[in-house]
Amino acid sequence: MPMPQAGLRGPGTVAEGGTVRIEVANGAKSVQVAFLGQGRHNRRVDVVDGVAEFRVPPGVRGGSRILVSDFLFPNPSTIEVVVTGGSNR
Amino acid sequence: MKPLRLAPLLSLTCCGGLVAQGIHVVPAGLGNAEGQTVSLLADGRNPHRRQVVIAASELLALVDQEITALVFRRDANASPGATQSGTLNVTLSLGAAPQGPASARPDFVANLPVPITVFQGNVILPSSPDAGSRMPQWAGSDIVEITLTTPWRYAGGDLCLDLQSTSAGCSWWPVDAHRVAAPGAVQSFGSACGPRALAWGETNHVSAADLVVGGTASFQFNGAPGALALMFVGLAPLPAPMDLTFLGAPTCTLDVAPIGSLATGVSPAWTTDLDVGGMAQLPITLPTDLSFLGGELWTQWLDSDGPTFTTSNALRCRIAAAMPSLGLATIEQLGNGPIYVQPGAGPVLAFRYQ
Repeated sequence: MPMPQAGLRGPGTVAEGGTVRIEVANGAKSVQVAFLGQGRHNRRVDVVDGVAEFRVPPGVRGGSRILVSDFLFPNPSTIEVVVTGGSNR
Repeated sequence: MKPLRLAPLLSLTCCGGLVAQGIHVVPAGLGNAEGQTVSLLADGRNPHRRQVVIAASELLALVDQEITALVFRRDANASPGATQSGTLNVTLSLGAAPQGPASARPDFVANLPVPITVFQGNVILPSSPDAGSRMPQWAGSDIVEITLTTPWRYAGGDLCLDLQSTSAGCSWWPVDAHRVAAPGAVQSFGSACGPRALAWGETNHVSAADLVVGGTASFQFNGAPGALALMFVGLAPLPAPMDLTFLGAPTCTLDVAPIGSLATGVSPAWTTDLDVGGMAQLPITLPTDLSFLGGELWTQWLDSDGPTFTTSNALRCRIAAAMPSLGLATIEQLGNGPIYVQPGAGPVLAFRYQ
C-alpha cells in the first residue's frame, strides 16, 4: 500500500470496474474524485466511518488516472489511483 | 447510559505502596465498542491542534481523582493492516472549560483560558499488527499513551484538553473516534453553468453533517482556478430563477434572493483537466444560539471566469433541529488553516487515574 498523504490512504491501483476504497482519517466529510480526461464520471463521494468508496465506472479503461482530494485547507491531500486492466490504450 | 468504568486495578507503585488505579473511557459506552468514525493524532505535514471539550457528566468517575495518563485506542474498522511505528512531538494541556461542549467556540483561548501543561515531549506510536476482526484493547500495541509528567487532579466541571502535535513523515496511526448523527439537510436547486458544471454537475456543496448549531460548516465551490468567488447567502429563493444572459452569462441563473455575500479565492487547478477547476472554500461556524435550531439558509456561488462569470446550483441548507446529544466537542486546526468546531464529536479517550 502506498504511503498515505496526510489524511488519505488509497490502493495505488484498481482493476477496471473495481472498487476503490480510500481511507480518510482527517475528518473530511467527503472527497472529490476526478477521472482525468473523462470528466463525466467526476463525482463527490461521502466518507462513511472513515472510508470513501466508489466503483470505477464502465468505460474507464486501464491506464486511466483517478485523482482523489479531500480539499481540507490549508494543504489539501490528493492521491492518485491508476486503473489497471487488459485494455490499456 | 452510565459512563463505562473498567474495574479499578490494584497495582504496586514504585515505592512499594498499594494505589488503586482505574481507567475511565469517554464517550460513555465505548470502552469495549467501536466508535462511528476515525481520527488521526497528527497530520504528516502540518502542525495539528485539537481541543476536546468534555461535559462534566461524562467525567463523574474522575472527580477528585488524579489523572495520570491519556490513552487513545487504535481504530478497529477504518484501517486494516499493520500500522507503522513513529514518533509524535506533543504538548498536552488540561484545564477547566468555561463553557460546555455545546458552546465550544473556534477560539482556543476561549475554550481553555487557563491551560496547565501536563506533558511536553515525544510520544511513541507503536507498530501494531493487523487487528483482523478482533476489537482493539486498551493495552499493548493497540494504544497510544501519553503519561502526564505530573498527575493532574480533576475537581469536576466541564473539561478541556488541548493536544498540539507534530510528526515527522508518516503519521498514519488511526485512532477510534465517535460522532453522533444529528445532521441537518441539504437540497440542491437549479443548475450550475459553465465548464465546471460539465465536469461536476453540481458545483456548490456543503456537508449536511456539519449543519449543526455551533458547528463549522465548510461551504465549497468548484470554480475557475485562481478566480474570485462570491457566495451569496439568502433566507429564501427568488420567486423564479433570474436568467443572467443579459449580463453575458448565458445558461446561468440566479436562484437565491441574497441578503449578503462573502468573497474568497478559488484555489489553483488541482488536475490537468482544466474543466475540473479549483476549489473555493468558506468555513463558517454557525452561532451557538439555539434559535438557529431547524433554521434555514440558501447559498449560491458566482465566480469570474475570464470575460464572463459562472454560477453554481443553489443549496437549501437546513440546520439540524436538535443539538448533538454526545457530551463532547472537538475544535481542530491544521497548520494555520481555519479552526473547525464539531459539536457531538471527538476521539474515544481513556483516562488513567489513581
